[in-house]
Amino acid sequence: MVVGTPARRSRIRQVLRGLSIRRKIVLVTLLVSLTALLLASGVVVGGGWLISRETLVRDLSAQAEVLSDNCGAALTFDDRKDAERLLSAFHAMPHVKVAGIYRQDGSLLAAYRQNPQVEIPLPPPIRQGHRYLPTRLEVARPAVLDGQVVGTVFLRADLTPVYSFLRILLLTLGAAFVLAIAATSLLASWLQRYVSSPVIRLAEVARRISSEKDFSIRASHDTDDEIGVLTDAFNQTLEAVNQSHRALVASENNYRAIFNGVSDAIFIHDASSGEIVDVNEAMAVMFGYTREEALGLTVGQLSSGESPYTQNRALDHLHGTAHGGTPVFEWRSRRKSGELFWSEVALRRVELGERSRIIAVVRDIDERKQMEKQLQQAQKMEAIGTLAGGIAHDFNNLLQAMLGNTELALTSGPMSDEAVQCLENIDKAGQRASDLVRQILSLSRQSDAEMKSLQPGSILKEALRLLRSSIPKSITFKEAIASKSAVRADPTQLHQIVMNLCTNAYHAMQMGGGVLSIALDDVELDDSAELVQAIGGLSRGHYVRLTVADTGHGMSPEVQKRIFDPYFTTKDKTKGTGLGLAVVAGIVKKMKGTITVSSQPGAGSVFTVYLPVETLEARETPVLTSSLSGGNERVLVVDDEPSVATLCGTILERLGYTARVVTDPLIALEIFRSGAGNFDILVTDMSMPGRSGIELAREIKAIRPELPVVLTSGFSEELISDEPQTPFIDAMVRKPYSQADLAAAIRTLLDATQTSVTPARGMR
Amino acid sequence: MVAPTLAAGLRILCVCASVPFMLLLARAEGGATARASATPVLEDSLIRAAFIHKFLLFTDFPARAFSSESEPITICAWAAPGDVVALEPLENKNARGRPLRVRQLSDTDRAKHLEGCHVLFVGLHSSVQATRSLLAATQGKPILTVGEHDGFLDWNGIIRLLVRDGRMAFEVNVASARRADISFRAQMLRVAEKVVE
Repeated sequence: MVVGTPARRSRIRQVLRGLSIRRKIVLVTLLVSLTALLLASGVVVGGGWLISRETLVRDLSAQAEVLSDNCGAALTFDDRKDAERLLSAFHAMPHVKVAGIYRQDGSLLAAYRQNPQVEIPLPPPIRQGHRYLPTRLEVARPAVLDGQVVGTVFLRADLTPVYSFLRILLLTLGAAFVLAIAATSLLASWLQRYVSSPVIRLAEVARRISSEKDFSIRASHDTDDEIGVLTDAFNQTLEAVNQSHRALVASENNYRAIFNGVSDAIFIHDASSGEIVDVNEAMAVMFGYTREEALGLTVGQLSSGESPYTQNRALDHLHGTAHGGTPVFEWRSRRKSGELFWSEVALRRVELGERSRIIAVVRDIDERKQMEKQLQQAQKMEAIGTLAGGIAHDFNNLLQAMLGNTELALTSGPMSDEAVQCLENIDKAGQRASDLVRQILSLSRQSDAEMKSLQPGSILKEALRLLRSSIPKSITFKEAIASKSAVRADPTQLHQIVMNLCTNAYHAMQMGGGVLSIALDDVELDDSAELVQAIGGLSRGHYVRLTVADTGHGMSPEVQKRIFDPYFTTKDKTKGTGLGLAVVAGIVKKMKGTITVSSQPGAGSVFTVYLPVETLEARETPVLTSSLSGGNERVLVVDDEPSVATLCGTILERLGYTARVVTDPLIALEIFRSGAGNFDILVTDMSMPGRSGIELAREIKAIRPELPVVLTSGFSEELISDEPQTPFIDAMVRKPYSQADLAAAIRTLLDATQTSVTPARGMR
Repeated sequence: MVAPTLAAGLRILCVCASVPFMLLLARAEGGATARASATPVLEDSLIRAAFIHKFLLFTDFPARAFSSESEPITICAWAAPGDVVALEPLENKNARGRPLRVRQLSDTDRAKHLEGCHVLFVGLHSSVQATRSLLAATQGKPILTVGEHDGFLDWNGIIRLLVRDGRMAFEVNVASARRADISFRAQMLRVAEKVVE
């Protein structure tokens, strides 16, 4: 083989490396065959050369022998002609260039020259044997006759026969060469597949596996040689790889499912640089970034940036964790939108693969924070509520005295306009104070309100009646009560809704006046209704719709978003607690309804409350008549607060009743036990030393079961509702009450009692 | 150019070849002097004697011609004394592994004395009749007859010597030879001036 320069060798190696196995096999086979052929050809040519030279010597020697045998006579008889005739035979042998017959003394008898220009050597250069010269062969033989050498025969030939033989040999070998190459190529190309096919199949399988990532593919083989063994080993390895791959995929899927399934955001940081290397889907949702965006961010960009929520502080935490800490801390985070929120971050160092990582689990605790804040407020409110509840009785008694006396003063006789105005202001302030006390009580209440079926229309009317007296004339009142449907609600709370919404509307218009429109109607919402679609949780069906609209200053969208939050208020501190709308929203939600608001700054606001219609037939709520109808029956008034007791007595006297006032429930009980007084009705306070109003009522009813009892109170769970909670109480009147409230309650009871128990009043 | 060289060469060869013959002749003269008187020896005679020797180199006799392996070839001559003398030097030579002997036939019993002769040379001095009777006497015998008469071959002689263009030449009657049970090497026939079948 040709051994080239190193550069050429490396080039050959490069070419060989790029060849397919088929070509390599064919090439190797060809090279081996060619080498063998070349060696064999070399031997054949060399052998042919030697043989043909030897043959030429033999041929020429034979010619000389024949000539020497035949020229004896010519030499003996010195017959040149005969000698020439003998020599003329060489015309037929073109390679014989010169022939001579020499006499014994070396002189020439006859000669033959193919080319007449050539000289005949004299005497013959050799007398016997042969000699090879570079381009010719010379042979000589003695001519012997009867044992005597009579002369010499000399022949000279060129090597044409040798060359011709070699030429034919080479041509034959060349043809054989071509045939052999062709046959070898064909055979090698045909037979190589027995070696290459399994390897190629194996390679193809390997290629498919790596491109399709399908480790279930198997290589097949039909031989039991080394390739068969290799294929089996490959398949076994593949099986092992497949199993571990499946396990890996399952593990990876599990990991991904867990990683992305948790609701907390998970960051994986590089322990040394703090760089974010992976995040889960919850992170994308929580922070508003895509995973790809998140990978390019720093912790600082995800933080509020206000000290201590900065990149440097975050890196401190990460480095602290990298050195063994497992901190959990709260962090002020920043969403893509710029919105800040509270989060709780738990850091832990783990080794993932070869790398040291820090896993940060980030939980959105904004809601929790809000809840905590709300809880604090609620606890504060509860404390206030408890406190307020504790003093509400006294407060209401005071208010009762103030309001009652004011009312009495107003109705006591002619007064100057200025005095009337003053008294009316006192009344309004008192009413406000009364409302406030009731709201505080409502908020501080622990138990759920009692839900019952009622017609909101009647509650609304009553509430409006109360409102009218406290809203200035600059505000025009419009009401449209069309609904007769019943809803399931707590009447007090419904009352509260109306009062709160209307108070808000009134406050919005306080500066310049306006129109306060209140409407109550029935609506049916189907699935296509805009509202149903806009408000999640509101199902289709029949609703009672309460609309409270004002023409006040309106609200910006930002304010609208937060108006239902507790303690959010646009009012100054003297005008509200910020609880009103939060309370309303809470109540509406409890009633399975919804509340919406639409407003434009400067264009007023519209609050709409939807309450689901109660499908059962609504019970008619007894509506207290509000006319100041009096009577002449005898009334026992029991109240431990002397001012209130006196006030009540005065009101009743004015209405024509005969009233006796006691400030001790035990005295009242004694009166009934003794049978003194023959009272037609009992009006008792709830909270009294010695006996509560209910206990008193029970004991008295034991004596006089038919006796109607009116309970008044400024502080009681029961009294939040208008409905009596025990069978011993026939009617309730909240403190502070007006003359009308009291009059109506008493008259209604007395009328009912007389109708059912006793003959008509006139008969007594 | 070659031809003249060859011709010159041949001439030289002829001269060279004749010199020893003449020397031999001179010595033979001395030897022969004892038996015969001084007889002039001609160059032609020497050449004739040489030809007879040369013929023997190419002649195959039948086995019956000789009684033993070593029996010499006897050349009997019926010729002029000069010719016979010229033959005498042949006694020192061999042919076909046998020595040569020369015997001169006597005038009287020449036909009877053919016994033991292998070669019969008849010179020109012999009469036609004598020649023909001698030839007749050789019939059926393995005797190579060599003569010079023009009709020698017609009379069943085997080889006739003649001079052509100044050179000694010969003619062969192969049929006569066959009858005498004598054969020649082909190359000799090739050299012959004429071969009669």
